[in-house]
Amino acid sequence: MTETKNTKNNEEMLSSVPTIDDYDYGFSDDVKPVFSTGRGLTEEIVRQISAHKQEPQWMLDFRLKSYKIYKKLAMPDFGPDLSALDLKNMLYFQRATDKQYRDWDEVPDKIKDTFERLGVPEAERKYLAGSSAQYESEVVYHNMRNEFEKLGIIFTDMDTALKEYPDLVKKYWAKLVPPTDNKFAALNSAVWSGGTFIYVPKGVQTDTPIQSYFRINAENSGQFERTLIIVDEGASVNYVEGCTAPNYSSDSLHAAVVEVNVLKDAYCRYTTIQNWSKNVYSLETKRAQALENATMEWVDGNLGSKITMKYPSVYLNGRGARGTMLSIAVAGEGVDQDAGARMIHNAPNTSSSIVSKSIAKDGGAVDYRGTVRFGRKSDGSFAHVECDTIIMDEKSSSDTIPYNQIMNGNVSMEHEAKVSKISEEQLYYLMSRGISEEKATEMIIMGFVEPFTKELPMEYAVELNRLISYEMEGSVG
Amino acid sequence: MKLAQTLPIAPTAVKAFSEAHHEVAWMTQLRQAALNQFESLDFPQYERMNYRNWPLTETRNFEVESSEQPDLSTINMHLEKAAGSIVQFGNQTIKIALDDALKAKGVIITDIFTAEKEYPDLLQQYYMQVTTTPDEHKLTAFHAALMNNGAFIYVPKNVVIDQPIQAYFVQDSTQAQDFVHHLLLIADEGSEFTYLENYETLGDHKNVANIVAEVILKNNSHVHYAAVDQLGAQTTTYLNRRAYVMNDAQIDWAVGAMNNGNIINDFNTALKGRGSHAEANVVAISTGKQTQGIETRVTNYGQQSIGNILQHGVILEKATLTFNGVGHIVKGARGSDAQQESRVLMLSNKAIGDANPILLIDENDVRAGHAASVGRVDEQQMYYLMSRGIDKETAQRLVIRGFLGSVLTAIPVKAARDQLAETIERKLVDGQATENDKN
Repeated sequence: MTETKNTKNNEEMLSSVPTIDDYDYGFSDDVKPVFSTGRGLTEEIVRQISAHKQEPQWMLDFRLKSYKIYKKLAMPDFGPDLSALDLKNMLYFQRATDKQYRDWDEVPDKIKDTFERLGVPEAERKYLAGSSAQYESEVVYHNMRNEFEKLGIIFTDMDTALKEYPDLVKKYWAKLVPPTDNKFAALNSAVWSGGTFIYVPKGVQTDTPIQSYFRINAENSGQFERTLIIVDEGASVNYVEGCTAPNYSSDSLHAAVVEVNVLKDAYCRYTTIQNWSKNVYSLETKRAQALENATMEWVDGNLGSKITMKYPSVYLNGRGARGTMLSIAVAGEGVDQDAGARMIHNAPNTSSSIVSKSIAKDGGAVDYRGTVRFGRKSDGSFAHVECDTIIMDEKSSSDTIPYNQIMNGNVSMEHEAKVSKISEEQLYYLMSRGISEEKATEMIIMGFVEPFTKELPMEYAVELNRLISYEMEGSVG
Repeated sequence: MKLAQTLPIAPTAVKAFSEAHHEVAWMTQLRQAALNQFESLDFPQYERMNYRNWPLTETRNFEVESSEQPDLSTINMHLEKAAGSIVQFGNQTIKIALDDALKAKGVIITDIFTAEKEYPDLLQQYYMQVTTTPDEHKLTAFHAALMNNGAFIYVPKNVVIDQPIQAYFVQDSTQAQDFVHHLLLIADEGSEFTYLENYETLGDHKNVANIVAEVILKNNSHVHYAAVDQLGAQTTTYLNRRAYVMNDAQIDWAVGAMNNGNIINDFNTALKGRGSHAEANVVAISTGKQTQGIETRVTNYGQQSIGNILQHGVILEKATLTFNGVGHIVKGARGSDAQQESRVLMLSNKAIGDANPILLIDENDVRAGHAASVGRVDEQQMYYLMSRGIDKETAQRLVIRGFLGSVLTAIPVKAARDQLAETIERKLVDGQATENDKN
């Protein structure tokens, strides 16, 4: 899926953009938005966004209420320094095209080129059940194969879902992430646009992934997609999302809200490969609830961005529910990955597992911040947490900040973490067999992240390995 | 009740107290400066501990005198094997003893007011200057301003003492009196000894305790510091134990947090010197409705420094126990090692347990790790014991005693060790009894 990237044409386009080495997605296009609310945010802009989308009154009310909450809430009092984030200068809503396309050939050339270079349509042809592409604030392309549509799976963008499935949307809207949750959830609730809506009917199971691709193009852009997934009883879904943006000297903001409802006996896997350019703040609120015997799996790769703050959670609300988080984070120069997971055990016999692998290099910071909570009713529940970090050089750092709160005597929790540099012993072993230090380092890192990559769809795994190998270049010496 | 932002103490009262104790000028000034700063300082923050409604700064009487001949018969003291000892009650010093040979070698055990006058240089150099400062936060300022008793212990260069130095610090709650107690312990270069400390409470008055215990370990010294804390149910405490460890020195902490009231424990070791080493062992039992918050922090500043934290806790009834373990390796502490382990046993569904093992790593040439677990009493061990005819409650206590063994075995005096075992036993029996009443 990467072959289309380095054509001669693309290189010409690249030359006009200040790029950072090793980031393949740093190009931008001169697509003029057909509509933009301009810089900054006011109540009037919130109204404009809603009016443009011809939304029902309840959604406008929700947006306005959220905007008030947003203005009241303080910035997070923990984690990375967000003081450089210029919220006043941000573009909060930009519409790139007048309509949404189901056929790649119809997508305007410049936007199409972008996604071609990112390998999106190729991936769809190869292995996806459905695919959508969001460009700035709205979804520009969306398609699902007939065979999956016939099963009754609804896969559409959030704006369309609000029009076509108003009852379903309203029933689950903001139930897991209320606008009061945090400042950026409130901001998203006020200005949300685009995102994915998936409904899988009772008993319908598919392993073939459904993918969304999120792209920020313009400078100082805010992208506020809103994703809502409902996996009905006994059903299963495998959802994959990818994110990239051009390199600019000024900052963009990605503040998504994702809510996943996994009903009784259902299964959901949600895979994210976040590879924003190094001028994007990725401040996200992702939350799932798993009902009786349901399984929610987060697979979360954080490779890019300037600052990421993301702690996907699973509320284990039904007896026997399971939640897992498998994550990797790589932080290079100027990057702070503050990520983790939250597992909230609210019902008996629930289980959770968190496996986090982090790598810090060239002065980057990787922080694990997580919570495991056993509520009063969590009899017989179990949690396992494992955090491993490699700090590649003396400029880099890592904090591990796990909270484990237990309010029940009949549970068990295990937590382990390790922070170290690359193992000298392993290096020595490999180099004594004639492998160069650089290659040996890469092999050790690949082995370190392997538990993660082996869980990815093949194409993603290949891509991720390539990215990490790129990141590791020049890290020896 | 809210934590007060200002102290209802007049500067003249502090001055009068200082004068009544014939204090040296710098101490009087330190008190007054701290009192002046109190208002502008913040309260300390400890992750996942909320003590906003505790009366920690509600002073009642810091200057009232304790009885000089209290009835301490209810306090079990085991001083037979002590090389030296000090017993204090409220703001009185009841007894000081020291082996003549050690006295000849220059070992000092005295109360803090005497130390001010007789060892002014040592005191002025280290009293709230190195491990903590009066302006660190509101609670250290409170301490500096109102300190009303304390002990000073000094072991000179290369003096190695086989028998322990023991201290019994008994809070006077037979009346309304603030217990603002200070310990300054200095281990000079190459010295080695064991210090065994007991904080207890006599009486049932509702009182505040604010304790600062400072340990200075100079190059190559080695201190075994064992503490059994049993402050009373009516006492609300801020307990600050700090160590400052220089080159190749080592401190072995063994703390049994067996208090009965609400308490914030701030155990903090600074590994300043190259090759410095700390073993921080803490065991705790929370019972009744009490909250014990324990933050054990080791900061590696020196190269090749080693910090190990081991915390084991048991929670019964409606009690809360919060363990924060913080391993912090600062930039430049190459080749250092920070490991920690926090384990909590929950014996009740109404209890709240927190185990937060935090690692802050700013250096790459290090080894750091933590493990935490929370669970029930091991079923297999229970089954084994019960199959041999031991009843459930006893079996449970035996398993727990094994679980808390890490600190028990570190206490050098058998009588004191037995006493801690007794305390554990009593806390558990009381807790189990209420547990069973409810079931």
